[in-house]
Amino acid sequence: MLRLEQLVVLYAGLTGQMTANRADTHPRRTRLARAAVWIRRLPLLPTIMLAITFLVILIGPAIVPHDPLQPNPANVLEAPSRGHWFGTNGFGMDVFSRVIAAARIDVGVAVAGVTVGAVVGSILGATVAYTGGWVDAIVQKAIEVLQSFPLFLFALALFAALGDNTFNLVVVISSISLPWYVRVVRSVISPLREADWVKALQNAGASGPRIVVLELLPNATSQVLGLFALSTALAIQVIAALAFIGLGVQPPFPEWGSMINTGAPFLLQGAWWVSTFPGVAVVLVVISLHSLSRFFDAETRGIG
Amino acid sequence: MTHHESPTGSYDDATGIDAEVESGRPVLSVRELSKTYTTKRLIGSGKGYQALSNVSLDLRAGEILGVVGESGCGKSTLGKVIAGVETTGIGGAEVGGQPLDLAQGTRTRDQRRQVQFVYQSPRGSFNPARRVSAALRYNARLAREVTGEPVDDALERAVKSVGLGAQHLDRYPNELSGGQLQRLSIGRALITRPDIVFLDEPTSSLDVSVRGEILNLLTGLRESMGLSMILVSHDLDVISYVADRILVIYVGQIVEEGSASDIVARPAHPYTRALLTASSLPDPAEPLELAVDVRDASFLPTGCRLAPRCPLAEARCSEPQHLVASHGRSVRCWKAESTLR
Amino acid sequence: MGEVVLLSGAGIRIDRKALPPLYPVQNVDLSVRIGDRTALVGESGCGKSLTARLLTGLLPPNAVLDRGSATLLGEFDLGEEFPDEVRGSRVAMIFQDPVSVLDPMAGIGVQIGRALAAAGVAKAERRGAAVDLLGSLHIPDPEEVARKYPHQLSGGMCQRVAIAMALAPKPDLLIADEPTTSLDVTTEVQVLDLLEEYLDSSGASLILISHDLNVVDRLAESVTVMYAGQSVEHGPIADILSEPAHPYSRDLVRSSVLNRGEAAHSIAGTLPSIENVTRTCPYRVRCSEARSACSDTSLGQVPSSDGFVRCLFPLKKMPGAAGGEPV
Repeated sequence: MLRLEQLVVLYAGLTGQMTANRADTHPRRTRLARAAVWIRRLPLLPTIMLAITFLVILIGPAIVPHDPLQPNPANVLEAPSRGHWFGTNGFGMDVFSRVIAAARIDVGVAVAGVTVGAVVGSILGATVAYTGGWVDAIVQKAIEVLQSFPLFLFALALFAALGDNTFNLVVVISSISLPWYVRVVRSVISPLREADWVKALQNAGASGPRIVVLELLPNATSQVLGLFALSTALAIQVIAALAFIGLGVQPPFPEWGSMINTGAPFLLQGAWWVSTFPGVAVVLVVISLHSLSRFFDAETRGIG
Repeated sequence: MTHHESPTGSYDDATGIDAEVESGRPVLSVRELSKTYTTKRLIGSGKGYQALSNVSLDLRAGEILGVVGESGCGKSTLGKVIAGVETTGIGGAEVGGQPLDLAQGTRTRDQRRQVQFVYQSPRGSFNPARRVSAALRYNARLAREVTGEPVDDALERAVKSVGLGAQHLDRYPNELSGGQLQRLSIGRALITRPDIVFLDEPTSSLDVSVRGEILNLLTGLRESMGLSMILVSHDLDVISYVADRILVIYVGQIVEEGSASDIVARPAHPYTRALLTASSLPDPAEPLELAVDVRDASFLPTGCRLAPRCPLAEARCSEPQHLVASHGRSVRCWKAESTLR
Repeated sequence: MGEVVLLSGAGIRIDRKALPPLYPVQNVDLSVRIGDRTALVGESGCGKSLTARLLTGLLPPNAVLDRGSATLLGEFDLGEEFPDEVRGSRVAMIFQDPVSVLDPMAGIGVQIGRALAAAGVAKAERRGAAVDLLGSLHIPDPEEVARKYPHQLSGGMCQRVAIAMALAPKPDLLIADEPTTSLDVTTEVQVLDLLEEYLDSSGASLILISHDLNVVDRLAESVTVMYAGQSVEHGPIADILSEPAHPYSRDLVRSSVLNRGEAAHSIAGTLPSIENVTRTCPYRVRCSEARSACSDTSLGQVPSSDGFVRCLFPLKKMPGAAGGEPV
């Protein structure tokens, strides 16, 4: 497993921030110092936002002021107040509690799906990059065909074919994110195939899978991290969009997309809070992930 | 100013090598080695480019054989074919009396252990994303089957033999200097207790202030463990400093061969004379500068390949020239043969 | 116009996003008069190429002249915007890799024609002038070469063409950045001869950037030795090769000479960090002559009649130096 320190060193290596000849003494201390510098350079607001989201996913349901599934006919469409920070919806459920509870399903399914896609896609991408030849050509063509479908339509069709449940939602998310990882990892690893160090490993009798997973793949770490942030953002959007049109997570189970949908009719009655707060949650998380991804991207290209 | 720390490793318990030293048989002998690269074409067969033609050489135990020539002359290809990396050659080769497979990727693990290759760029020979110990471990496992040496012991022995410490193993390539990485690259080759180490331009991507440290290491390894090496370089200064014998290669052919001191003192072939004139070594008795040839590199004259650039060329040079040996020297030039006697 | 190039305490800062800036060039003094042939010598990372880029206005966008002053052709302050009109016409640069300088899609004759156009040669005469120029660089069959494309020529021939293009407008100052490093040794001699021939005939000035003292010895008259972004010694080439005043110059000269049977010289240790500007000697940690004063005394030049050394304890008394005390 990669430790944070290793990851950071890897980064520095990839972005050329460590100059040769200059880190002769105390590499461990330099590594830790650089890790600290790197952590300080993370974009502040998005990182805080994502940290909060992560915390909410972990302990959210335990700290919410109300049961997110408890209807209260006496208290329907109440405006934001001290008792209900984000107001209540058409069934009198507390919107704040529901926004918090929904984070677990939205971000959780997105991360689960993207993780599967990332692991499988990265290994596949690195493998075809290393193998080259017709295997590479076929996989590339297949990916191009898959990517020629509009993303959302593809998700919709797949979801319709597989059936409507949360597990299949994870499957859909992993299948739409997999091609990105194949492409990105392949493009990073391909030029390394001819590197002297790869030839040296082959000559020392290292097996193909070993070279791909242990040696080549770590060289794409920063690109994969950047893509992970970006694809998680997209996955959250897809999950919310599917729920918005009534697929995937069903009301009254809390989910940002379906909450926006069920709150929409009340907008005309002036009850803006039912749709707006879950909408803001989606936007904040997605923007934070995007900005983190941009940071990774800039790191990779050595900007700065 | 420092001088390198003296290498501490030795070959006492190495397999097979002592017998060679005693019998005086060459560690490596290569016969009639040729290598043609063919460019791939969509239709029909591609144009062939002969990188090596009928190269024969012997490497004696504990000797540094220098191969000098300019870019594209085939000197790196020679190493890659002998070391069995990247490419396949045609011809015969023996290591310690046993035939060596010249095809790519079909060597036994023991054959790969016997011949080690050190790449030109120290930075290019290590994975930037892994600690250097990871790279060395592969070779240690390759050797373990024959030597039975535990991996960690082999690593420690290797870094010590190149004048580094165990702490260097724990670093990433970008935390080491070019000189240290080149030492580790040589150390990686030594892990397998090889019979031959082939070094491809080991100093040309290093600063001149580090060059001496690597050259001292190589001569030290020859003294302390009787390591047999083939060292390839475009730089006659380096070759003549470190090598015992020199092979001069021009466009895939050996044009001159002899002991290093002899070649530097009395270069016979016009090409060797031109190399010596261009180097910082004292000029030969008859300095020589080559003419400019605008022709494509794939153009091969039927006779002497240097003739189009050679200021001494005459009509007879268009006939094929043979490598003529006499008194431990060989030269491929009819005009130069007389200088050998 | 006295000096073609005058750098005085010049330093270059490279800004990095959210990271401390780097100071790859910290303190360079360089004075090149008309007709001078001087060389910048040092190892990789000493800042010599960046100095050359400053002089040709080719610094990366995040690099600026941070300290000291730099004047080009006696009239242009390089701290301000680079005078584009002199680049290529009065100041020409020859690069290490000739193949990347040439346009792969254009014939050699056409490319030299472009350079001649910039020099104001009429369209009708360009082809002929291009062929003449190739001929003047001792290229056999210049007509044939003018018809070819870069990929059909060897590296040495490409460098000749690149030199032809650089020399076409008859520049006053030629900056050659490792012009022969990518070439074969037998070609190197020929290319150096070409450059020398141009300098002899035109009286232009040369700044040669090289890591190779043999190349420098063949072409330059004076040398500025650079270490860690500082010019540590300047003087005639013969003096620096035979009797250097700075310990680094001595160590560099020693390492570039190999004597069979003797241990080769090398310099232990590594370059200092360039994240800070240092006013003390950058070489003291690797220097065999270093004394305690070296680490706490800020360093000035010891001038001499024909150069300077930036060292508290130079290896020789500088000829013509007033007292020999650092200033």
